[in-house]
Amino acid sequence: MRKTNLSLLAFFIAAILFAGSLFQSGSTYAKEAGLVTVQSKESFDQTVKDLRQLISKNGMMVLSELNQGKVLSMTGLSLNAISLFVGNPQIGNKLFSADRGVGIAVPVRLNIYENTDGKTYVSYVKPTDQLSDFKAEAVQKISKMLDQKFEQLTGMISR
Amino acid sequence: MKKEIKKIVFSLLVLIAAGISPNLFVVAQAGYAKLSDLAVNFLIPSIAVIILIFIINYFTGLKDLNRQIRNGFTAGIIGTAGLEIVREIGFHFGGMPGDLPKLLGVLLLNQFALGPDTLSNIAGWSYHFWNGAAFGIIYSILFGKGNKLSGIVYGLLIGIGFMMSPAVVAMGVGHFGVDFGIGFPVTVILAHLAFGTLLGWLIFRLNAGGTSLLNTLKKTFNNKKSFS
Repeated sequence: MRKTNLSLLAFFIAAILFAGSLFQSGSTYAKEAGLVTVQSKESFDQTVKDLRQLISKNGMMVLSELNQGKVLSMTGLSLNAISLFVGNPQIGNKLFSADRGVGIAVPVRLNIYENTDGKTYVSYVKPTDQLSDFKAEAVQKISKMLDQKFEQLTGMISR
Repeated sequence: MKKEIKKIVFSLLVLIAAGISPNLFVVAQAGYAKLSDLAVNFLIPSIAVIILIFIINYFTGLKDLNRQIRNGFTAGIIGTAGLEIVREIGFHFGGMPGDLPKLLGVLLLNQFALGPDTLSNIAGWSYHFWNGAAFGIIYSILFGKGNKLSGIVYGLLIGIGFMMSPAVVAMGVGHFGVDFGIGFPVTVILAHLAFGTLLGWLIFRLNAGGTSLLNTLKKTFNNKKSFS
């Protein structure tokens, strides 16, 4: 009887650990010092296309973009990588009203790239980390809201 | 006499106008202005000035200056084709830090962040070839017929000038590309040697009987002296 209980306990612990690892690999590839990297379930081109639409649907805009892949093609390097600078005028207005120095961190840079393993990843530095040095209450409040938005956004395209 | 002075004045105007284009990239890379703005404010007007002088010459009988402009343009374009063949080979083998016509295109259309596309490539290649044509026009007017060596020296000087310019420093390779490797100066020198050789040879054949600006000046002032 006691032996059976121990086996059951071991089984439950293993199941919980396994489920935990499944959950962890569900959306986030890596999370280090504010850097969030998510593996996309789609190809590079499709991920960029989907993200543009999702950004719009989530009340934000691509304010600017830097196509590093194409820029670096001029040096002979071939890769897929693009940075989208995401924000919206309303959020910008509130942030800059609270502190004129926030331009160092916003608009938030969303980096989409195809790695050497052929898989597509989306990464960004969490707005709360980027804006952590700005003590204004409004900045901290908005940065938390942005964290949620970006988590939601990248969650929609993650594997 | 009047015709010669007119030729000198128009020659100088064409020299100034043709000299604008090759310097715009240098000015932009030195950080003084954006190439896209310089193109609108200086490149297009300078081309318009050359075309206008060509049309005026056509109607006022300055046919020999027009012939020199036309020959310089043609030889410059052909010389640039030769330069591009060498440059492309050099770039393919890692002798150049970047694809210059593509870079020129994205800077001209102010779309560096988006990278090159068909339109920017067309703009960049056109600008590079126009630079070649402008150098061709300058050579044709300055040297007249020239000689077999003058084209080579001219091409070499352009190549050395390019490697000493802010255009190269801004690419992060240092003067003469010392921070990039020996492939850079070798490619640039060989490419400009190809340009100069083709230009010099073509102008030598096409401008047969053509006079250099210096000779025209000498002739005009000698005539003036003999009159006084």
